[in-house]
Amino acid sequence: MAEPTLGVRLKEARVRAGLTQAELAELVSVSRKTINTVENGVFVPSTLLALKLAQALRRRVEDLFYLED
Amino acid sequence: MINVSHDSQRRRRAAIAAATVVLMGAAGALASTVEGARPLPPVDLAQIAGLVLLALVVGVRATTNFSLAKRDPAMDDELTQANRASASRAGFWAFLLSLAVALIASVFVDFRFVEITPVLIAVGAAGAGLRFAILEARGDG
Repeated sequence: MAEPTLGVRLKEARVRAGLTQAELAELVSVSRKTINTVENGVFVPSTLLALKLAQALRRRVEDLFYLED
Repeated sequence: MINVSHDSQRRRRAAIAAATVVLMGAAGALASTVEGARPLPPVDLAQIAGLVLLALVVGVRATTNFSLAKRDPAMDDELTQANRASASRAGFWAFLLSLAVALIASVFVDFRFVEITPVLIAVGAAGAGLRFAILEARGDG
């Protein structure tokens, strides 16, 4: 069975919240690079960061991240 | 949770750096007193010291968050930590493979330990530094 990959709706949620990558990065105390790589699916964030991102964007974590088959 | 102030952390890091330099110098001085030692000409010594120092700086920068200056904690986030872990693996394998190559070459070529070790250290550090730079560049854009 193929390993599922992580689907990301972070960019969509960030744009809807009217935030830039730099602003979101500052809210969750990471670098802009981290936000960029998470949005592009290059970097899989830790549970802690995923929760922080969801909190900063006032979304549920499963709205931002989901499993893709 | 352990709360270590930036100042005490900086002092501890400066002490570690100073102790490392003193230990390396002492080991070199002790080795030069051994009977039958074949000291290198000062030019070669300076070359080797320069190469190893440069490799150590690159290696430390690519694989640890060691810094004598105060840094923005956001620059040491989980992406950077993951990149450092990956760079450490790359450096380790670059070092190990170059060591294996040197071992095979030593069967056919007669060279001294002092000639080849700085190169191995530099290869390991370059491997780690290159990997770290590539991974960090992925976040740009």
